[in-house]
Amino acid sequence: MKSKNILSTVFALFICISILQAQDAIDKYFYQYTDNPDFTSIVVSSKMFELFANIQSESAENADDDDFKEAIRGLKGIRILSYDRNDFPDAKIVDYKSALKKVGPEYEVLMSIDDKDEKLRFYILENNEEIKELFMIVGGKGNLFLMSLVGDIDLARMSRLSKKMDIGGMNYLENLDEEHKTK
Amino acid sequence: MDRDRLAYLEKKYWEGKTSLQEEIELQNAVRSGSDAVSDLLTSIFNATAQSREISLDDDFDSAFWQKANVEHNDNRGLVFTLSAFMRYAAVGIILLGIGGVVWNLAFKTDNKVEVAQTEFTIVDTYDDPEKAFEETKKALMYASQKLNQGKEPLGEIKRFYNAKMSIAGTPVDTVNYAKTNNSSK
Repeated sequence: MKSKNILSTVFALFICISILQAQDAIDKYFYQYTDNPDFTSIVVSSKMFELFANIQSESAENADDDDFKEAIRGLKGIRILSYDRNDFPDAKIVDYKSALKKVGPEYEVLMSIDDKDEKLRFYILENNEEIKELFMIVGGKGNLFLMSLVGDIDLARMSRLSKKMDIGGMNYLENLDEEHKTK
Repeated sequence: MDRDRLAYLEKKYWEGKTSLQEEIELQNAVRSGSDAVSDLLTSIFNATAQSREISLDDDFDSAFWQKANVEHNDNRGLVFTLSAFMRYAAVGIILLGIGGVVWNLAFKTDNKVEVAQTEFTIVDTYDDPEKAFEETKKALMYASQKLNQGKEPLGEIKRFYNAKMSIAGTPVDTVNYAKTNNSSK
């Protein structure tokens, strides 16, 4: 009986340790490359999200902003890490795989698309059946894109975003703000 | 002392009926070298007297404990049962676990410092909320586009399912789209 209790305690301890370590995996990946000049790192904090409410839509072009604000209601932060080196087309497939490995078991695969040019994974982290984090990994020829979206996430609302607004085949990786590449 | 009395006392002694006083009388007679007491009784009394004089000195104690410790050490390696092993193993694992937690906490503290430093320089990637808003919009559009890209094959399946149900004459119902559609609450 005594040894059973000890074993149970030890088992629980190991579970706790593994969960703690798993939760750090994505953070580790982000902060491993944050200072790497080849990576573009963007972080929008919850404070900044609060300020979005004060942005006024002045022109007709920005009329969709209200829809967008509605869509991002409940979000608390975004972290983006991307790498785009077309001159080394196969260089970063390793990082894509290592990024996948760092995703902890508490993250559930939402969607997975593998084609010859691009690999994509969407992961979600749920709490009480509500999605609290959407983690996206895109790996292509010479590029890697990671995005972590934190907050109360409504996938249906997010899915409708690109349908409502004309994004004209936008390639986000090409449009990343060059000014804010990590120096 | 009266020989007859001594003979009487000895007889009583062998019968186990002597009193303490009478036994002392016999002992005194033996000590004084009286030949009225038999050799057997004399030797018994002499042996008893000698044994009373023997005492354990310090050398005996030290020799005893030295021997006892040596034997204890010799036996220590042999008496190692499974339960003892389990006890040591459990203690070892608990210590490892505690070490892991401590290490993890220390590591997390380092991480926090790193995060704090990064937040200082990176979190406010954009000082201007409008720029941050535009960038957020672009990022979410990209995610939205990818989400829909993943749903396209499901749309095909849905159309196929609907067509199949129409042919079969069953009212067309919606197809569950897994979590992408279920999450709208």
